[in-house]
Amino acid sequence: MVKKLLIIILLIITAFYVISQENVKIILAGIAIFLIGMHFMEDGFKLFSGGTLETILEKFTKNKYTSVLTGFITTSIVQSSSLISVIVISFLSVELISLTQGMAIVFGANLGSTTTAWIVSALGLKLKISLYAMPMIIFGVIFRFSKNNTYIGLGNVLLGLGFIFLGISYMKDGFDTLRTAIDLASYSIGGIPGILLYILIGAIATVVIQSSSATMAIIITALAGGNILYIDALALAIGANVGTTVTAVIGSLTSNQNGKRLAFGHFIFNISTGLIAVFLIYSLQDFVDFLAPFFGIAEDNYSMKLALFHTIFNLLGIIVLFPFIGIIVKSSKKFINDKIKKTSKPKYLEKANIKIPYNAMVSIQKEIIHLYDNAQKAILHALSIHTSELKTKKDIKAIIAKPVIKIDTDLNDIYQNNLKTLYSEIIEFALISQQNMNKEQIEYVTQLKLASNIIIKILKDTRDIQKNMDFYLRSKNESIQKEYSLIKEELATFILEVNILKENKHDDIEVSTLIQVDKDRLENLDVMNNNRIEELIRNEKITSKMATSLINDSTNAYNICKNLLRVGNILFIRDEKLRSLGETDEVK
Amino acid sequence: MKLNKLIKSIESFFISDKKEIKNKSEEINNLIKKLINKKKILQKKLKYAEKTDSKQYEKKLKAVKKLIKKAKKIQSSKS
Repeated sequence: MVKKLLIIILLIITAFYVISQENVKIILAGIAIFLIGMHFMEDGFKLFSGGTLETILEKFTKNKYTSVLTGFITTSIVQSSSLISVIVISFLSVELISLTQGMAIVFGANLGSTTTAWIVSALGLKLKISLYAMPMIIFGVIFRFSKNNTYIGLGNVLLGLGFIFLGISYMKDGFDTLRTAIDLASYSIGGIPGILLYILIGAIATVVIQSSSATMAIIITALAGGNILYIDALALAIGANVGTTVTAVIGSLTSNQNGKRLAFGHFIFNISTGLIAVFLIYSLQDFVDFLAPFFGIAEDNYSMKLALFHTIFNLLGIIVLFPFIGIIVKSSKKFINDKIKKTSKPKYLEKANIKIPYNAMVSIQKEIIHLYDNAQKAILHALSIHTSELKTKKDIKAIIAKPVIKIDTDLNDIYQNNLKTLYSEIIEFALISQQNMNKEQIEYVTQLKLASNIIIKILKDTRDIQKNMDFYLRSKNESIQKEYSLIKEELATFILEVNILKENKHDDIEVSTLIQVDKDRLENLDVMNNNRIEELIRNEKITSKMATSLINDSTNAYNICKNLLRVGNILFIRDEKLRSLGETDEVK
Repeated sequence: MKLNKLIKSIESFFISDKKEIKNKSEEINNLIKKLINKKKILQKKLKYAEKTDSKQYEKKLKAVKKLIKKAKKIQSSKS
């Protein structure tokens, strides 16, 4: 209620100023256009990169040093530390990178976000950038008509840049004329209270606008227009850095544990950096004055000096805090504990991943492996095999040789209470995330959905065998007992084969070859089984009731093994062509 | 003539199917090359393998040959 009331009051005040004050209207319009530009840029880079950004972040983050550098470079290019943070959180959720690497990327991203200040102060104020904005907007819109996602992405990036330039231009014009109407600089308090007040204003502005880059653009244009004093602008920049952590912390509330830990690290980094900057504000100001000539910055070019200050204090933060990154990671883990998830709860399906197609795909793949793990555990229990007993091929003979000790397993109950929920969540997540994917990604996710469906089918087929298996493995008729032992051996062997593929030790060609070897073996087994069963019936070694059960269960076991290999083919082969070979019928 | 060229380039901007087909046939060619390479490696291994390992290599070789056959079938259906 209070929140709604505050929003209404804020809207009324904004409407009043927009109607009555021409300058305020222009500045606010500039901020709005700038923010929409940022939005288009983010969206554009997501589409335009088509997974390139994710590949870069995955490949060039082998250690914490390269992670900082990658965070810096990627953020400088895409101009959005929040986009990089979202990707990092999503990487963490699918365990593609470690938390230390993630934090190092965020450290680098903080430094990378300072390039916005350089762009605004170097280009935005010196040149009439609105002239460049128009062609960008025009071509951006044209590119968006394309059916190709890369061109749409490029269109969005151009449109975003165009709007950002246009926004800066509006803000600049607004602040330029505002100064003639009202001299805000004359209200400056000065001294430590003034600095603290401006830090607070900078932080609040960033929390409201939800973008430190936009706040920096406002500060720089206001400073260039002479609306604020240089020292107050420095304090506002520190405030913007502090404010952005609030946005990150709020954003992480709906994220997983690793997302929260990352936000914790981000918070520690920005608060510590902010504190260092506040304590050293006058020394840093002198240091900037000293360095400015080396960068070709004129003595009275305060906007560029502010950009330099912004970069220096963030760099200082990295230098001071980088050695403690391990401690920050440890305390974040201590502070935010791991939640023990039920088997029915998804482990990898994070909402944040939906918008990043590559990561959404990895999330779905990992979650289906999780579904498979749970299903194969239940299946083995249904066959009276403990998962710990089945590690190597040698174990199978030992399992079959020893007397059967039944493990109480209700596959119906396991399906209804655990796996059904997980299965439904996978399908729902896949359907939503497919909306943001390209053709190849959609095709792969469709196959992944098929794999999860097959896993459930395997579970149901095992349920159909379970009762007879329990019964005939204890039968006094040696022939039928032997046949069911062979079915049990066959199922255990094929589950083990898929588990070996899961270990990820082989390349795609080897995995595909191993699956084909297993397929050949399965076909041979099927022929042998059928021949044996026919012989048993002919020689009246089993009753007709036993024969019917055996024929049905043998067919079921064949289907289970075939489906296990299909699951292995979809889940563990990355090459699309090779995967499709695995799905192709045998060539005679 | 020039107008024709312009229409074609606009068409290729909005529809990227032809390029896709070319890429896909290249992909299948590369895959066949990789599989043939695997076949050669297995043949070499089989030549110098001990009796205990040779059975496994034989099975793998048979499997790779089947995969090559399947890939070639896809290749011929595309062309």
